Amino acid sequence: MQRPDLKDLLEEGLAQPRSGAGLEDVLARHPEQAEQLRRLLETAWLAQTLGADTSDLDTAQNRSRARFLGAAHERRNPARLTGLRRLARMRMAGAVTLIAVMLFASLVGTGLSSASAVPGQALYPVKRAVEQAQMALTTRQSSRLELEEAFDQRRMLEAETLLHANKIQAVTFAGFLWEDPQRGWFVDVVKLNLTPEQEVMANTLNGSYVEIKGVVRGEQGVEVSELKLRLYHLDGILESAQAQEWIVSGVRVQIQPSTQVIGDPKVGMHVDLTALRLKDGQYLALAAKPGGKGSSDPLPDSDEYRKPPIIQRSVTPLPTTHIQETENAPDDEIGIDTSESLHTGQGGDRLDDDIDLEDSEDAVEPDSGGEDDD
Amino acid sequence: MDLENDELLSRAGELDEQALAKLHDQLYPQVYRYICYRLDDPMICEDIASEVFLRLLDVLQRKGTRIQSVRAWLLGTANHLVQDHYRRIYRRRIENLDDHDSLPSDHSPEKEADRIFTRGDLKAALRRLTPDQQHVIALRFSQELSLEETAQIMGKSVNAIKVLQYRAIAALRRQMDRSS
Repeated sequence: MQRPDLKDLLEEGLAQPRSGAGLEDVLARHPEQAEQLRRLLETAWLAQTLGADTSDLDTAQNRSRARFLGAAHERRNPARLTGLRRLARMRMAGAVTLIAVMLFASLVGTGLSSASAVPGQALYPVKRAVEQAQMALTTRQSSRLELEEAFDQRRMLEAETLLHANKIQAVTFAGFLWEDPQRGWFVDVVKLNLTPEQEVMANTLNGSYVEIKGVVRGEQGVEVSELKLRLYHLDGILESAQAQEWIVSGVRVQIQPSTQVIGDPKVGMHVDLTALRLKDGQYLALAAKPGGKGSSDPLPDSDEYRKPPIIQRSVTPLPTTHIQETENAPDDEIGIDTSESLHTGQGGDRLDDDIDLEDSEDAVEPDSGGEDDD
Repeated sequence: MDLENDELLSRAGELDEQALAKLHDQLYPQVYRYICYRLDDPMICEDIASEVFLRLLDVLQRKGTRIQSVRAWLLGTANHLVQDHYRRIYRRRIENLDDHDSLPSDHSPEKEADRIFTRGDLKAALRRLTPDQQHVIALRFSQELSLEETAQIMGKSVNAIKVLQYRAIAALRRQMDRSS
Protein backbone atom coordinates (compact mmCIF):
# COMPACT_ATOMS: atom_id res chain seq x y z
CA MET A 1 0.00 0.00 0.00
CA GLN A 2 1.33 3.42 -0.93
CA ARG A 3 2.27 5.69 1.96
CA PRO A 4 0.06 8.76 2.09
CA ASP A 5 1.70 12.05 1.34
CA LEU A 6 2.74 14.05 4.42
CA LYS A 7 1.25 17.23 2.95
CA ASP A 8 -2.18 15.52 2.94
CA LEU A 9 -1.69 14.11 6.43
CA LEU A 10 -0.68 17.54 7.71
CA GLU A 11 -3.87 19.03 6.35
CA GLU A 12 -5.88 16.16 7.82
CA GLY A 13 -4.23 16.71 11.21
CA LEU A 14 -4.84 20.47 11.09
CA ALA A 15 -8.53 19.82 10.55
CA GLN A 16 -8.71 17.94 13.88
CA PRO A 17 -8.89 19.51 17.35
CA ARG A 18 -5.44 19.73 18.95
CA SER A 19 -6.27 17.15 21.57
CA GLY A 20 -8.81 14.49 20.97
CA ALA A 21 -9.62 11.17 19.47
CA GLY A 22 -9.64 12.50 15.93
CA LEU A 23 -6.00 13.54 16.02
CA GLU A 24 -4.89 10.40 17.80
CA ASP A 25 -6.80 8.40 15.21
CA VAL A 26 -4.95 10.13 12.37
CA LEU A 27 -1.61 9.45 14.06
CA ALA A 28 -2.54 5.84 14.87
CA ARG A 29 -3.52 5.12 11.29
CA HIS A 30 -0.07 6.18 10.08
CA PRO A 31 2.37 4.88 12.70
CA GLU A 32 5.41 5.15 10.46
CA GLN A 33 4.81 8.86 9.91
CA ALA A 34 3.22 9.61 13.28
CA GLU A 35 6.28 11.17 14.93
CA GLN A 36 7.11 13.30 11.94
CA LEU A 37 3.50 14.37 11.61
CA ARG A 38 3.22 15.24 15.30
CA ARG A 39 6.29 17.48 15.07
CA LEU A 40 4.86 19.25 12.03
CA LEU A 41 1.53 19.76 13.76
CA GLU A 42 3.22 21.18 16.86
CA THR A 43 5.00 23.67 14.63
CA ALA A 44 1.78 24.57 12.81
CA TRP A 45 -0.07 25.08 16.11
CA LEU A 46 2.72 27.33 17.34
CA ALA A 47 2.45 29.30 14.10
CA GLN A 48 -1.29 29.64 14.66
CA THR A 49 -0.70 31.41 17.98
CA LEU A 50 1.17 34.27 16.29
CA GLY A 51 -1.97 35.91 14.95
CA ALA A 52 -3.76 36.24 18.26
CA ASP A 53 -2.92 39.81 19.29
CA THR A 54 -5.17 42.31 17.52
CA SER A 55 -6.10 44.38 20.56
CA ASP A 56 -5.63 47.63 18.63
CA LEU A 57 -7.95 46.55 15.84
CA ASP A 58 -10.88 48.85 16.62
CA THR A 59 -8.75 51.97 16.98
CA ALA A 60 -6.76 51.13 13.87
CA GLN A 61 -9.94 50.45 11.92
CA ASN A 62 -11.46 53.81 12.90
CA ARG A 63 -8.33 55.66 11.87
CA SER A 64 -8.06 53.76 8.61
CA ARG A 65 -11.73 54.35 7.78
CA ALA A 66 -11.26 58.07 8.40
CA ARG A 67 -8.24 58.16 6.11
CA PHE A 68 -9.91 56.01 3.46
CA LEU A 69 -13.14 58.01 3.35
CA GLY A 70 -11.22 61.26 3.64
CA ALA A 71 -9.20 60.33 0.55
CA ALA A 72 -12.41 59.39 -1.28
CA HIS A 73 -13.96 62.68 -0.23
CA GLU A 74 -11.01 64.63 -1.60
CA ARG A 75 -11.26 62.78 -4.88
CA ARG A 76 -14.94 63.62 -5.12
CA ASN A 77 -14.27 67.25 -4.24
CA PRO A 78 -10.86 68.09 -5.63
CA ALA A 79 -11.64 71.78 -5.67
CA ARG A 80 -12.06 71.85 -1.93
CA LEU A 81 -8.46 70.92 -1.28
CA THR A 82 -7.00 74.36 -0.90
CA GLY A 83 -8.11 77.90 -0.60
CA LEU A 84 -6.39 78.77 -3.86
CA ARG A 85 -8.24 76.02 -5.69
CA ARG A 86 -11.45 77.16 -4.11
CA LEU A 87 -10.68 80.62 -5.39
CA ALA A 88 -10.01 79.21 -8.83
CA ARG A 89 -13.45 77.68 -8.92
CA MET A 90 -15.21 80.87 -8.00
CA ARG A 91 -16.87 82.63 -10.82
CA MET A 92 -14.38 84.68 -12.72
CA ALA A 93 -16.12 87.96 -12.17
CA GLY A 94 -16.33 87.42 -8.43
CA ALA A 95 -12.70 86.38 -8.22
CA VAL A 96 -11.53 89.39 -10.17
CA THR A 97 -13.56 91.68 -7.96
CA LEU A 98 -12.17 90.11 -4.82
CA ILE A 99 -8.60 90.33 -6.04
CA ALA A 100 -9.10 93.92 -7.06
CA VAL A 101 -10.50 94.75 -3.63
CA MET A 102 -7.67 92.97 -1.87
CA LEU A 103 -5.02 94.63 -3.98
CA PHE A 104 -6.62 97.98 -3.51
CA ALA A 105 -6.94 97.46 0.22
CA SER A 106 -3.39 96.25 0.71
CA LEU A 107 -1.56 98.61 -1.67
CA VAL A 108 -3.26 101.86 -0.88
CA GLY A 109 -3.76 101.16 2.79
CA THR A 110 -7.48 101.33 2.57
CA GLY A 111 -7.73 98.00 4.32
CA LEU A 112 -6.19 99.49 7.44
CA SER A 113 -8.28 102.58 7.18
CA SER A 114 -11.45 100.60 6.66
CA ALA A 115 -10.81 98.35 9.65
CA SER A 116 -12.42 100.85 11.98
CA ALA A 117 -15.25 101.76 9.59
CA VAL A 118 -18.80 101.34 10.83
CA PRO A 119 -22.04 100.95 8.87
CA GLY A 120 -22.90 104.17 7.10
CA GLN A 121 -19.31 105.15 6.36
CA ALA A 122 -17.85 105.17 2.86
CA LEU A 123 -15.15 102.57 3.58
CA TYR A 124 -17.48 100.12 5.28
CA PRO A 125 -18.23 98.13 2.08
CA VAL A 126 -14.46 97.72 1.58
CA LYS A 127 -14.14 96.32 5.08
CA ARG A 128 -16.87 93.79 4.39
CA ALA A 129 -15.39 92.83 1.02
CA VAL A 130 -12.02 92.11 2.63
CA GLU A 131 -13.80 89.95 5.19
CA GLN A 132 -15.55 88.04 2.44
CA ALA A 133 -12.23 87.44 0.73
CA GLN A 134 -10.75 86.14 3.98
CA MET A 135 -13.67 83.76 4.41
CA ALA A 136 -13.46 82.56 0.81
CA LEU A 137 -9.79 81.66 1.25
CA THR A 138 -10.36 79.76 4.48
CA THR A 139 -11.16 76.10 3.92
CA ARG A 140 -10.93 74.32 7.25
CA GLN A 141 -14.25 74.16 9.02
CA SER A 142 -12.89 75.08 12.45
CA SER A 143 -10.97 78.06 11.03
CA ARG A 144 -14.06 79.28 9.22
CA LEU A 145 -16.06 79.15 12.42
CA GLU A 146 -13.34 81.07 14.27
CA LEU A 147 -13.31 83.66 11.52
CA GLU A 148 -17.06 83.95 11.60
CA GLU A 149 -16.94 84.42 15.36
CA ALA A 150 -14.39 87.22 14.92
CA PHE A 151 -16.63 88.92 12.33
CA ASP A 152 -19.63 88.58 14.64
CA GLN A 153 -17.60 90.29 17.34
CA ARG A 154 -16.80 93.12 14.93
CA ARG A 155 -20.46 93.58 14.01
CA MET A 156 -21.34 93.78 17.68
CA LEU A 157 -18.60 96.34 18.41
CA GLU A 158 -19.73 98.39 15.40
CA ALA A 159 -23.23 98.51 16.84
CA GLU A 160 -21.80 99.58 20.20
CA THR A 161 -19.78 102.35 18.52
CA LEU A 162 -22.88 103.61 16.74
CA LEU A 163 -24.81 103.56 20.02
CA HIS A 164 -22.22 105.71 21.77
CA ALA A 165 -22.11 108.07 18.81
CA ASN A 166 -25.92 108.53 19.02
CA LYS A 167 -26.30 107.46 15.39
CA ILE A 168 -29.41 106.15 13.73
CA GLN A 169 -28.28 103.27 11.63
CA ALA A 170 -29.44 99.83 10.45
CA VAL A 171 -27.30 97.02 11.85
CA THR A 172 -27.06 93.25 11.89
CA PHE A 173 -25.05 91.44 14.51
CA ALA A 174 -24.95 88.28 16.61
CA GLY A 175 -23.99 87.29 20.11
CA PHE A 176 -25.17 85.76 23.35
CA LEU A 177 -28.48 87.07 24.61
CA TRP A 178 -28.73 87.97 28.30
CA GLU A 179 -30.87 90.05 30.63
CA ASP A 180 -29.89 92.63 33.22
CA PRO A 181 -32.73 92.79 35.76
CA GLN A 182 -32.44 96.60 35.98
CA ARG A 183 -31.37 97.64 32.48
CA GLY A 184 -33.11 95.10 30.25
CA TRP A 185 -31.97 92.87 27.43
CA PHE A 186 -28.50 92.80 25.86
CA VAL A 187 -26.54 90.95 23.23
CA ASP A 188 -23.06 91.04 24.73
CA VAL A 189 -22.58 94.78 25.40
CA VAL A 190 -25.29 96.07 23.06
CA LYS A 191 -28.56 97.12 24.66
CA LEU A 192 -31.71 95.92 22.91
CA ASN A 193 -35.04 97.66 22.68
CA LEU A 194 -37.62 94.86 22.49
CA THR A 195 -41.39 94.79 22.10
CA PRO A 196 -43.36 92.84 24.72
CA GLU A 197 -43.76 89.97 22.25
CA GLN A 198 -40.02 89.94 21.61
CA GLU A 199 -39.36 89.94 25.37
CA VAL A 200 -41.39 86.75 25.67
CA MET A 201 -39.22 85.20 23.00
CA ALA A 202 -36.05 86.60 24.57
CA ASN A 203 -36.97 84.89 27.83
CA THR A 204 -37.07 81.61 25.95
CA LEU A 205 -33.79 82.24 24.20
CA ASN A 206 -31.99 83.71 27.21
CA GLY A 207 -28.34 82.60 27.10
CA SER A 208 -28.51 81.50 23.47
CA TYR A 209 -26.45 82.74 20.55
CA VAL A 210 -28.84 84.86 18.51
CA GLU A 211 -28.91 87.01 15.41
CA ILE A 212 -30.26 90.53 15.64
CA LYS A 213 -31.46 92.82 12.90
CA GLY A 214 -32.54 96.30 13.82
CA VAL A 215 -31.77 99.99 13.95
CA VAL A 216 -29.44 101.73 16.35
CA ARG A 217 -31.27 104.59 18.01
CA GLY A 218 -28.70 106.24 20.21
CA GLU A 219 -28.97 105.59 23.91
CA GLN A 220 -32.29 103.79 23.51
CA GLY A 221 -30.33 100.86 22.19
CA VAL A 222 -31.05 98.79 19.13
CA GLU A 223 -34.67 98.76 18.07
CA VAL A 224 -34.94 95.11 17.10
CA SER A 225 -36.82 94.14 13.97
CA GLU A 226 -35.74 90.49 13.97
CA LEU A 227 -34.51 88.23 16.72
CA LYS A 228 -33.70 84.62 15.94
CA LEU A 229 -31.64 81.73 17.11
CA ARG A 230 -28.37 81.29 15.20
CA LEU A 231 -28.16 77.82 13.69
CA TYR A 232 -24.99 76.41 12.16
CA HIS A 233 -24.74 73.98 9.33
CA LEU A 234 -21.58 71.95 9.89
CA ASP A 235 -20.44 69.89 6.96
CA GLY A 236 -17.28 67.83 7.32
CA ILE A 237 -15.54 64.59 8.12
CA LEU A 238 -16.48 62.80 11.32
CA GLU A 239 -13.05 62.46 12.94
CA SER A 240 -14.15 61.06 16.28
CA ALA A 241 -17.49 59.81 17.60
CA GLN A 242 -17.71 59.41 21.36
CA ALA A 243 -21.10 58.94 23.00
CA GLN A 244 -21.39 62.59 24.03
CA GLU A 245 -19.00 64.37 21.72
CA TRP A 246 -18.13 64.24 18.05
CA ILE A 247 -15.29 65.98 16.28
CA VAL A 248 -16.29 67.10 12.81
CA SER A 249 -13.39 68.44 10.74
CA GLY A 250 -11.73 69.75 13.90
CA VAL A 251 -14.89 71.17 15.47
CA ARG A 252 -16.07 69.72 18.79
CA VAL A 253 -19.80 69.08 18.80
CA GLN A 254 -21.79 67.88 21.78
CA ILE A 255 -24.21 65.03 21.20
CA GLN A 256 -27.13 64.69 23.58
CA PRO A 257 -29.91 62.13 23.82
CA SER A 258 -32.16 64.71 22.20
CA THR A 259 -29.89 64.99 19.15
CA GLN A 260 -31.67 63.56 16.15
CA VAL A 261 -29.17 61.23 14.48
CA ILE A 262 -30.37 60.01 11.10
CA GLY A 263 -28.76 56.89 9.65
CA ASP A 264 -25.53 55.47 10.99
CA PRO A 265 -22.71 58.00 10.73
CA LYS A 266 -19.30 56.44 11.40
CA VAL A 267 -15.84 57.83 11.95
CA GLY A 268 -14.34 58.90 8.65
CA MET A 269 -17.68 59.53 7.00
CA HIS A 270 -18.82 62.85 5.70
CA VAL A 271 -21.57 64.21 7.94
CA ASP A 272 -24.00 67.12 7.93
CA LEU A 273 -25.08 68.64 11.24
CA THR A 274 -27.42 71.34 12.41
CA ALA A 275 -25.99 72.80 15.59
CA LEU A 276 -26.24 75.56 18.16
CA ARG A 277 -23.28 77.48 19.49
CA LEU A 278 -22.54 77.13 23.20
CA LYS A 279 -20.71 79.60 25.43
CA ASP A 280 -17.60 77.49 25.91
CA GLY A 281 -16.83 77.59 22.18
CA GLN A 282 -18.40 74.20 21.57
CA TYR A 283 -21.43 73.34 19.53
CA LEU A 284 -24.50 71.32 20.35
CA ALA A 285 -25.87 69.12 17.58
CA LEU A 286 -29.61 69.23 17.06
CA ALA A 287 -29.58 66.86 14.11
CA ALA A 288 -26.94 64.86 12.28
CA LYS A 289 -26.82 62.55 9.30
CA PRO A 290 -24.28 61.02 6.96
CA GLY A 291 -23.51 63.57 4.29
CA GLY A 292 -21.87 63.64 0.92
CA LYS A 293 -22.83 61.50 -2.02
CA GLY A 294 -25.19 58.64 -1.37
CA SER A 295 -27.08 60.42 1.34
CA SER A 296 -30.34 61.76 0.11
CA ASP A 297 -32.25 62.15 3.35
CA PRO A 298 -32.43 65.82 4.17
CA LEU A 299 -31.97 67.06 7.70
CA PRO A 300 -35.17 68.36 9.22
CA ASP A 301 -35.74 71.93 8.22
CA SER A 302 -33.81 74.23 10.48
CA ASP A 303 -36.92 76.22 11.26
CA GLU A 304 -38.13 73.27 13.32
CA TYR A 305 -35.43 74.16 15.77
CA ARG A 306 -36.15 77.85 15.95
CA LYS A 307 -38.46 77.69 18.94
CA PRO A 308 -40.33 79.89 19.43
CA PRO A 309 -40.76 81.17 15.88
CA ILE A 310 -39.05 84.30 14.66
CA ILE A 311 -40.80 87.42 15.78
CA GLN A 312 -40.59 90.41 13.51
CA ARG A 313 -41.88 93.88 13.92
CA SER A 314 -42.04 96.83 11.67
CA VAL A 315 -39.34 99.37 12.39
CA THR A 316 -39.89 103.05 12.32
CA PRO A 317 -38.66 104.19 8.91
CA LEU A 318 -35.26 105.81 8.89
CA PRO A 319 -34.40 109.02 7.11
CA THR A 320 -33.12 107.68 3.80
CA THR A 321 -29.86 109.59 4.01
CA HIS A 322 -28.84 107.63 7.13
CA ILE A 323 -29.67 104.15 6.02
CA GLN A 324 -26.76 101.88 5.18
CA GLU A 325 -28.07 98.38 4.80
CA THR A 326 -25.71 95.99 6.46
CA GLU A 327 -24.58 92.99 4.54
CA ASN A 328 -24.72 89.46 5.77
CA ALA A 329 -21.39 88.37 4.49
CA PRO A 330 -20.29 85.36 6.54
CA ASP A 331 -23.65 83.65 6.23
CA ASP A 332 -23.36 83.22 2.52
CA GLU A 333 -20.14 81.30 2.53
CA ILE A 334 -19.58 77.73 1.51
CA GLY A 335 -19.72 75.15 4.25
CA ILE A 336 -21.31 77.18 6.99
CA ASP A 337 -24.86 78.07 6.34
CA THR A 338 -26.65 80.04 8.95
CA SER A 339 -29.46 80.92 6.68
CA GLU A 340 -32.84 79.43 7.27
CA SER A 341 -32.67 76.74 4.65
CA LEU A 342 -30.02 74.11 5.21
CA HIS A 343 -27.77 72.53 2.64
CA THR A 344 -28.56 68.88 2.27
CA GLY A 345 -26.90 66.10 0.36
CA GLN A 346 -24.02 68.40 -0.43
CA GLY A 347 -21.62 65.99 -2.01
CA GLY A 348 -19.77 68.50 -4.09
CA ASP A 349 -18.28 67.73 -7.44
CA ARG A 350 -17.56 64.16 -8.17
CA LEU A 351 -15.25 62.37 -10.56
CA ASP A 352 -18.01 60.16 -11.79
CA ASP A 353 -16.81 59.49 -15.28
CA ASP A 354 -13.74 57.45 -14.45
CA ILE A 355 -15.28 54.19 -13.35
CA ASP A 356 -16.58 51.44 -15.51
CA LEU A 357 -16.42 48.27 -13.51
CA GLU A 358 -18.97 46.42 -15.53
CA ASP A 359 -17.66 46.79 -19.02
CA SER A 360 -14.15 45.52 -18.68
CA GLU A 361 -13.07 41.95 -18.57
CA ASP A 362 -9.56 42.75 -17.42
CA ALA A 363 -9.22 41.62 -13.84
CA VAL A 364 -6.92 43.69 -11.66
CA GLU A 365 -3.93 42.12 -10.02
CA PRO A 366 -3.13 43.07 -6.42
CA ASP A 367 -1.07 46.21 -6.22
CA SER A 368 2.53 45.18 -6.36
CA GLY A 369 3.83 48.00 -4.20
CA GLY A 370 7.39 48.45 -5.31
CA GLU A 371 7.69 52.15 -4.77
CA ASP A 372 10.85 51.52 -2.84
CA ASP A 373 12.68 49.53 -5.39
CA ASP A 374 14.86 52.37 -6.38
CA MET B 1 -20.80 36.95 -0.10
CA ASP B 2 -22.11 40.47 0.18
CA LEU B 3 -18.71 41.99 -0.46
CA GLU B 4 -18.51 40.44 -3.83
CA ASN B 5 -21.82 41.92 -4.68
CA ASP B 6 -21.47 43.73 -7.97
CA GLU B 7 -23.73 46.55 -6.89
CA LEU B 8 -21.67 47.30 -3.79
CA LEU B 9 -18.49 47.30 -5.81
CA SER B 10 -20.07 49.46 -8.45
CA ARG B 11 -21.20 52.00 -5.85
CA ALA B 12 -17.76 51.94 -4.27
CA GLY B 13 -16.33 52.65 -7.69
CA GLU B 14 -18.46 55.76 -7.81
CA LEU B 15 -16.95 56.74 -4.44
CA ASP B 16 -20.27 56.29 -2.68
CA GLU B 17 -19.35 56.89 0.95
CA GLN B 18 -21.77 54.34 2.40
CA ALA B 19 -20.51 51.62 0.07
CA LEU B 20 -16.87 52.47 0.73
CA ALA B 21 -17.43 52.43 4.49
CA LYS B 22 -19.15 49.06 4.28
CA LEU B 23 -16.40 47.64 2.09
CA HIS B 24 -13.73 48.95 4.44
CA ASP B 25 -15.37 47.79 7.66
CA GLN B 26 -16.07 44.30 6.41
CA LEU B 27 -12.60 43.68 5.02
CA TYR B 28 -10.31 45.74 7.25
CA PRO B 29 -10.11 43.18 10.11
CA GLN B 30 -8.91 40.47 7.73
CA VAL B 31 -6.30 42.72 6.16
CA TYR B 32 -5.13 44.01 9.55
CA ARG B 33 -4.88 40.51 11.05
CA TYR B 34 -2.95 39.30 8.02
CA ILE B 35 -0.42 42.14 8.26
CA CYS B 36 -0.06 41.90 12.04
CA TYR B 37 0.64 38.22 11.64
CA ARG B 38 3.63 39.03 9.50
CA LEU B 39 4.92 42.13 11.30
CA ASP B 40 5.78 42.96 14.90
CA ASP B 41 5.14 46.69 15.11
CA PRO B 42 1.42 47.58 15.49
CA MET B 43 2.01 51.09 14.12
CA ILE B 44 3.56 49.72 10.94
CA CYS B 45 0.72 47.19 10.68
CA GLU B 46 -1.76 50.02 10.84
CA ASP B 47 0.11 52.13 8.30
CA ILE B 48 0.35 49.31 5.81
CA ALA B 49 -3.29 48.25 6.27
CA SER B 50 -4.36 51.82 5.68
CA GLU B 51 -2.15 52.06 2.59
CA VAL B 52 -3.72 48.91 1.17
CA PHE B 53 -7.15 50.54 1.25
CA LEU B 54 -5.88 53.78 -0.26
CA ARG B 55 -4.50 51.76 -3.16
CA LEU B 56 -7.90 50.12 -3.52
CA LEU B 57 -9.33 53.59 -4.17
CA ASP B 58 -6.86 54.02 -7.04
CA VAL B 59 -7.97 50.76 -8.62
CA LEU B 60 -11.65 51.46 -8.14
CA GLN B 61 -11.18 54.71 -10.01
CA ARG B 62 -9.07 53.26 -12.79
CA LYS B 63 -11.04 53.17 -15.98
CA GLY B 64 -11.57 49.82 -17.67
CA THR B 65 -10.56 47.66 -14.73
CA ARG B 66 -12.47 45.06 -12.78
CA ILE B 67 -11.66 43.40 -9.47
CA GLN B 68 -12.81 39.80 -9.42
CA SER B 69 -12.39 39.41 -5.66
CA VAL B 70 -11.82 42.45 -3.48
CA ARG B 71 -10.63 40.33 -0.58
CA ALA B 72 -8.08 38.51 -2.72
CA TRP B 73 -6.89 41.82 -4.14
CA LEU B 74 -6.52 43.41 -0.69
CA LEU B 75 -4.66 40.45 0.81
CA GLY B 76 -2.44 40.18 -2.24
CA THR B 77 -1.59 43.88 -2.04
CA ALA B 78 -0.97 43.53 1.71
CA ASN B 79 1.48 40.73 0.92
CA HIS B 80 3.37 42.93 -1.54
CA LEU B 81 3.52 45.88 0.84
CA VAL B 82 4.81 43.69 3.67
CA GLN B 83 7.53 42.39 1.37
CA ASP B 84 8.40 45.97 0.40
CA HIS B 85 8.66 46.82 4.08
CA TYR B 86 11.09 43.98 4.74
CA ARG B 87 13.13 44.86 1.67
CA ARG B 88 13.52 48.36 3.05
CA ILE B 89 14.59 47.07 6.44
CA TYR B 90 17.09 44.58 5.05
CA ARG B 91 18.59 47.24 2.82
CA ARG B 92 19.15 49.47 5.84
CA ARG B 93 20.73 46.63 7.79
CA ILE B 94 23.17 45.90 4.99
CA GLU B 95 24.20 49.54 4.98
CA ASN B 96 24.90 49.30 8.72
CA LEU B 97 26.92 46.11 8.70
CA ASP B 98 30.03 47.87 9.97
CA ASP B 99 28.21 49.02 13.03
CA HIS B 100 29.12 46.15 15.35
CA ASP B 101 28.39 48.12 18.51
CA SER B 102 24.77 47.11 18.19
CA LEU B 103 25.55 43.45 18.80
CA PRO B 104 24.85 42.27 22.38
CA SER B 105 28.04 41.88 24.38
CA ASP B 106 27.13 38.41 25.66
CA HIS B 107 26.39 37.05 22.21
CA SER B 108 27.87 33.59 21.74
CA PRO B 109 26.92 30.50 19.75
CA GLU B 110 26.63 28.44 22.93
CA LYS B 111 24.17 30.79 24.58
CA GLU B 112 22.26 31.13 21.34
CA ALA B 113 21.82 27.35 21.17
CA ASP B 114 20.40 27.22 24.69
CA ARG B 115 17.61 29.66 23.97
CA ILE B 116 14.01 28.56 23.95
CA PHE B 117 12.27 28.99 20.63
CA THR B 118 10.14 32.05 21.41
CA ARG B 119 7.37 33.85 19.61
CA GLY B 120 9.96 36.34 18.32
CA ASP B 121 12.10 33.49 17.05
CA LEU B 122 9.14 32.05 15.24
CA LYS B 123 8.42 35.38 13.55
CA ALA B 124 12.05 35.66 12.57
CA ALA B 125 11.93 32.11 11.22
CA LEU B 126 8.80 32.96 9.23
CA ARG B 127 10.66 35.82 7.58
CA ARG B 128 13.27 33.39 6.30
CA LEU B 129 10.65 31.46 4.31
CA THR B 130 10.06 32.20 0.65
CA PRO B 131 7.51 34.97 -0.06
CA ASP B 132 4.88 32.46 -1.19
CA GLN B 133 5.44 30.30 1.89
CA GLN B 134 5.08 33.34 4.17
CA HIS B 135 1.93 34.34 2.31
CA VAL B 136 0.32 30.91 2.62
CA ILE B 137 1.13 30.58 6.32
CA ALA B 138 -0.22 34.05 7.07
CA LEU B 139 -3.41 33.43 5.10
CA ARG B 140 -4.07 30.08 6.71
CA PHE B 141 -3.09 30.90 10.28
CA SER B 142 -3.88 34.60 10.74
CA GLN B 143 -7.57 34.08 10.02
CA GLU B 144 -8.02 30.39 9.44
CA LEU B 145 -8.86 30.53 5.77
CA SER B 146 -9.64 27.18 4.18
CA LEU B 147 -7.41 25.57 1.60
CA GLU B 148 -9.89 26.51 -1.10
CA GLU B 149 -10.08 30.17 -0.01
CA THR B 150 -6.30 30.37 0.20
CA ALA B 151 -6.00 28.84 -3.25
CA GLN B 152 -8.43 31.40 -4.66
CA ILE B 153 -6.61 34.33 -3.07
CA MET B 154 -3.20 33.14 -4.24
CA GLY B 155 -4.43 32.08 -7.66
CA LYS B 156 -3.07 28.53 -7.26
CA SER B 157 -4.53 25.04 -7.08
CA VAL B 158 -5.51 23.46 -3.78
CA ASN B 159 -2.75 20.89 -4.21
CA ALA B 160 -0.17 23.62 -4.76
CA ILE B 161 -1.31 25.27 -1.52
CA LYS B 162 -0.93 21.97 0.34
CA VAL B 163 2.62 21.62 -0.96
CA LEU B 164 3.51 25.21 -0.07
CA GLN B 165 2.05 24.79 3.40
CA TYR B 166 3.88 21.53 4.04
CA ARG B 167 7.22 22.95 2.89
CA ALA B 168 6.74 26.07 4.99
CA ILE B 169 5.91 24.13 8.15
CA ALA B 170 8.76 21.70 7.56
CA ALA B 171 11.19 24.61 7.08
CA LEU B 172 9.98 26.21 10.30
CA ARG B 173 10.42 22.90 12.12
CA ARG B 174 13.99 22.60 10.88
CA GLN B 175 14.77 26.09 12.14
CA MET B 176 13.24 25.28 15.53
CA ASP B 177 15.29 22.10 15.75
CA ARG B 178 18.47 23.96 14.86
CA SER B 179 17.77 26.62 17.51
CA SER B 180 17.24 24.11 20.25
